[in-house]
Amino acid sequence: MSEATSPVSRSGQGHGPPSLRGGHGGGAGPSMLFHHFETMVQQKAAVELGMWLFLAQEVMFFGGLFMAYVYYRNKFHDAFVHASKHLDVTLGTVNTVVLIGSSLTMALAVDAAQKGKRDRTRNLVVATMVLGLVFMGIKAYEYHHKWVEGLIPGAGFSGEATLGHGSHIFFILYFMMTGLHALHMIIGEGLMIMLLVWNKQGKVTGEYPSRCHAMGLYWHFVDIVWIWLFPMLYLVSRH
Amino acid sequence: MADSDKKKPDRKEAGRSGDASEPPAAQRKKRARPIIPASAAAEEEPPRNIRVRAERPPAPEAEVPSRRAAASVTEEAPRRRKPQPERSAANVAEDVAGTHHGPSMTIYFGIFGLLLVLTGVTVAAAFVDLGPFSAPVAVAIAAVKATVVVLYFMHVKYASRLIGLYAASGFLFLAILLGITMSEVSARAPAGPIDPLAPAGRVAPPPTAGHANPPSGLRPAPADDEP
Repeated sequence: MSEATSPVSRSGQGHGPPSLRGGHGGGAGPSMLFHHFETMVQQKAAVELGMWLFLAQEVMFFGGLFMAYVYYRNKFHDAFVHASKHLDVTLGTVNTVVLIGSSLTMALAVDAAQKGKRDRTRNLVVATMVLGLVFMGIKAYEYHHKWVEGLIPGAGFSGEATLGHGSHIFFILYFMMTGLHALHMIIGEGLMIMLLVWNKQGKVTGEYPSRCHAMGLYWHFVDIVWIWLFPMLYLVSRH
Repeated sequence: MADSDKKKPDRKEAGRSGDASEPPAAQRKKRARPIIPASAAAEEEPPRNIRVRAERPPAPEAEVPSRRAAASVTEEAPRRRKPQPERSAANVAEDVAGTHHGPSMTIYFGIFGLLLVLTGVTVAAAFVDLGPFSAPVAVAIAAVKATVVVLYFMHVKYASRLIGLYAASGFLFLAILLGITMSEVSARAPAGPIDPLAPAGRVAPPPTAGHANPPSGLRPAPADDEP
């Protein structure tokens, strides 16, 4: 398959097609190479591996909360089932679709950057940002709804009596997990802004799409976290 | 030097094709022998663990039917077996970076469609009474969705094995965390109401006067089996 072409490009000139934009000041080649790397290929590999290492750490970061969720769901099963039914499945499903859509646009943006299409990259990154904002808007509406219902953890929490002992922990975990996820979304929006600036400067497309790829990896990771959160929080024992 | 080295794999291949009737155990022993000196093997073998899949050397079990085929193997063999003096960190990086050919448009949209379908399935399954299978089904669907995103959207399917290892490592340790903790939790005795004031284990008798217990000890002394 495509891997088979790898030995051919062992000339040290880097992978991928040469820059498709001929008019761009001689390409981003030498100026994009940081002094502590030998070649662009090495730099790309380092960027990619570094991002994956960071994401492995992120899995562990969220993992603590997942562990807490599994333990307390085991311990307070009935309360978790009742409390889970207070979340809006429709909104959760819509949000899942929105986030999967943003993952698609992000993946297409990375693809466009690798092919050197600057305008297409910009449009797709903007689309990703818009979908991310839609997600957070829906999430904010849900948070507001919980506030009205008195299900915000703390002294004013009203669910412990109506939903059973342990529902307080469900909502603590709900807000911790979705809140941490939303924080990642906000950071992701910031990264998208950086990406747009770099794209405007021509530092993303062409020879060095690894920045776009690394930020795409981050965005997809945030999507994967939601893929797990959605069934855990919204769908447990719905029937 | 270079010439003699080039001939070495040839002789080896020819020798192996000659004694194809040997019992497999003896063959395995023969193949294992050159790897034994660890330092020499490390020098001889390029870093295979981070190479792109397609570059793996042909399986050693492959029978070499004729002299001509053996010669064709020899052409490739020195490149793999011999140390490559010109091989720098950048060459290794090329292996890590892979070819960077992502999936096609069709695959991107196909994966998107698959993710939407799986989302629909997991929502639908949540409203059906699956009994004890409710949670496993939801977990399985989420696992498939996450795997598909990692493989196609995150290009792990098209990247080197080292990237795949990094991608899997976080989930591996998460599995250890969940697995060991939950197996411990499930093995606990059924817990009564948690009373932090109750002493753990056997209740010690109150320290009597004249007992050698330190008065400031925070823990109750272990009760000795005294008559």
